[in-house]
Parts: sequence; structure tokens; C-alpha cells
Amino acid sequence: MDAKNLAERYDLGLLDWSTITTRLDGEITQAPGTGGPDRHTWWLATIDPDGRPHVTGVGGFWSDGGLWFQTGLSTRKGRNLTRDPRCSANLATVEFDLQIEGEAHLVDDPDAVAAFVAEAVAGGWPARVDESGRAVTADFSAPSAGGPPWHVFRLVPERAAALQTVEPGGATRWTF
Amino acid sequence: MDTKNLADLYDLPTLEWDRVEAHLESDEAKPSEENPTGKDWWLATIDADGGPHVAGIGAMWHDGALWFTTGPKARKGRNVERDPRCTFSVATHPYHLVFEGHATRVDDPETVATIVGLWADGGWPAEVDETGRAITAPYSAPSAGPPPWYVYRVGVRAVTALLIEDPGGATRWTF
Repeated sequence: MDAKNLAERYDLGLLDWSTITTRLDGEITQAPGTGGPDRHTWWLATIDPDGRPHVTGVGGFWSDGGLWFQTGLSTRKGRNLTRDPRCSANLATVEFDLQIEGEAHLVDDPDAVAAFVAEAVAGGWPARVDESGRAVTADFSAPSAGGPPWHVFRLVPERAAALQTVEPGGATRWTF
Repeated sequence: MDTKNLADLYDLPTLEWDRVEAHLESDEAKPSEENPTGKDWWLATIDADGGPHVAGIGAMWHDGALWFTTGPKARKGRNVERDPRCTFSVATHPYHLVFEGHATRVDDPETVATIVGLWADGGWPAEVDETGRAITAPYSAPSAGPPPWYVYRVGVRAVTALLIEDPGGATRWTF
């Protein structure tokens, strides 16, 4: 892992990646008024067929060194990721703004899908594994997810950058 | 303006752009002591290799467009100079908002002065630099690089809003 200090101009020290992942492994609440700028929102940027950036909020969680989220394959982000897996995900917490960049790939291994569903249920979304064993269904999701089935994606960061938004501050870029 | 309800799957009503715009123009969304250059926005641009690049940024809605500033050597600054297509997102109360548009550098002294004045009102000690066409200040975000910082106007071609409080709803407007 290579770390680069982006805040030398302001005489601030390097941030520690493990501090970031420890925070991500904790609770990242998505209800209004529970932290971050009002709430925690994972934003996902993908690439449209014409090369334009497409951004949408996703319900996701950090686990096992990556960001997990779900979408229908017919949504714009689902079609975009199927065509070009390069993406960026971003999160603002009280302590830092985080951007991670890498490729997001569909996960359809039944054990991994079941683990995703268990996390989603623990987070308050009444989801279940569908009859294929490889995707997710539920009575509802975000409007932008489209209708079920929803498929699980995992984004593993190749690069990340964080801006610490509490004292003493700092900004660091990591390449993994 | 074309309006599309994205939440008819859930029988939710179409949202109203006028209310979203009024929200953007309200004190809550303006630059303030807490958020000197505007709320916590994200700017997505396109890298030279076609991949997405996203950076946290301060932005504000003014005169029917989004405005931001960056140094010309920052990655986002180089990206929008090469390809002006970009997307902004922000989580406010009570919306998730996504704006698709084109960023154009603005360097006419009158407009630069107006925009700098709005940021200064919010508490960021920014001023027009000696060229009259860019901004300088004692500090900015580390990701902005060193001054001078340029002013960009983003003409918006489409907005998507998700209402995150009852009754909920999701709507896309194309201008």
C-alpha cells in the first residue's frame, strides 16, 4: 500500500487507512439525523455509454475490505457496471470524507449472497434470498433500484482518498 | 422541462421542481460558517482514461446554475477542462439530489466578483486575485491545490431528486 500526503501545504500529517476501515466496520447509519451531513449516504459513480459520469445514492455497507451494495441489472447503474466495472463510491462521515475507486463486480455465489442478505436484514431492510439462491428480493427497495430481483455487487478499492474533517485535519491518498 | 416520476412503482407522487429549487435557494443550502463554500457536495468528473473521478467539494446554487471553484492543476480541474461533462450530488434535508451538467470556466470580472462575494458572505475569506479573473484566499480544501482558483458555472441539463421523508418520492427533470 502506498500513501501520499495531500495536505503538506498545510503541514498536516498522513492519515491512517486502518482508522478509516475501523470506522467503516462500525455503524454507518443511513437514517436522517444520525450522522454525517444529516445522514450517511454512499454515492456511487459509474460511467454511462456516452462516457458521462452517472451518480446515484446506494444503500451499501462495508465488509471484508470492500463496499457491498445491490441493484437491479436493468437500472442505469446496473447496466453501466455490467458494461464497465470501473466506479467510485463516496461517503461523508463526521470524521472524514472518503472516496474509493475500483471495479465493482456482480457476486452470485449463494453463500456470499446469503451473507449480504443477513447484513441487510440486520440493517433493517427485510430482504431475502430469492428462489435462484443468487440474488435478492424483498417487498420494497429504493425507487432507483428498480424491481426485484436485485443483484449483489462488491467494490474492492484500488485507490482511496480521505479528507479528515475534524481536528487536526489532513488529506491522504492510498493506492493498494 | 420534462418531468418523469421514478417512483410510480411505489405509487408515490411526482415531486415538484419549484420546491427543490426553493430549497436550494434557502439558507440551509447556502454557504455558511459551518459550510463556508456550500454544503458537502460531491463532484464526479471523467479521468483521461474514461474512469470516474469523484471529489468532495463546496458548491452553491445561484442564478439557475451550480457554481464551484478549483485550481487548474487539481484532478477535477484538469478533467473538466478536457471534458466538461460532470455530475454533482448532495444529501440535504430532505432530499438526495443529483445534477448532470456541463462545467464552464467563468472569468469575466463582474461574475467572478459576484460569486466570490457570495462565498465571502458565507465566511470563506476569499477575494478576487490581481487578474480580476480568479480567486485567492489564505486557504482552501487541500484538494483544491494552491491558488489561483478558477470559478466554474455548471449549466444543468437534468436533476434527479429523492425525497427521503414522508411521503417519499423520486423524480427526474430534464431541462
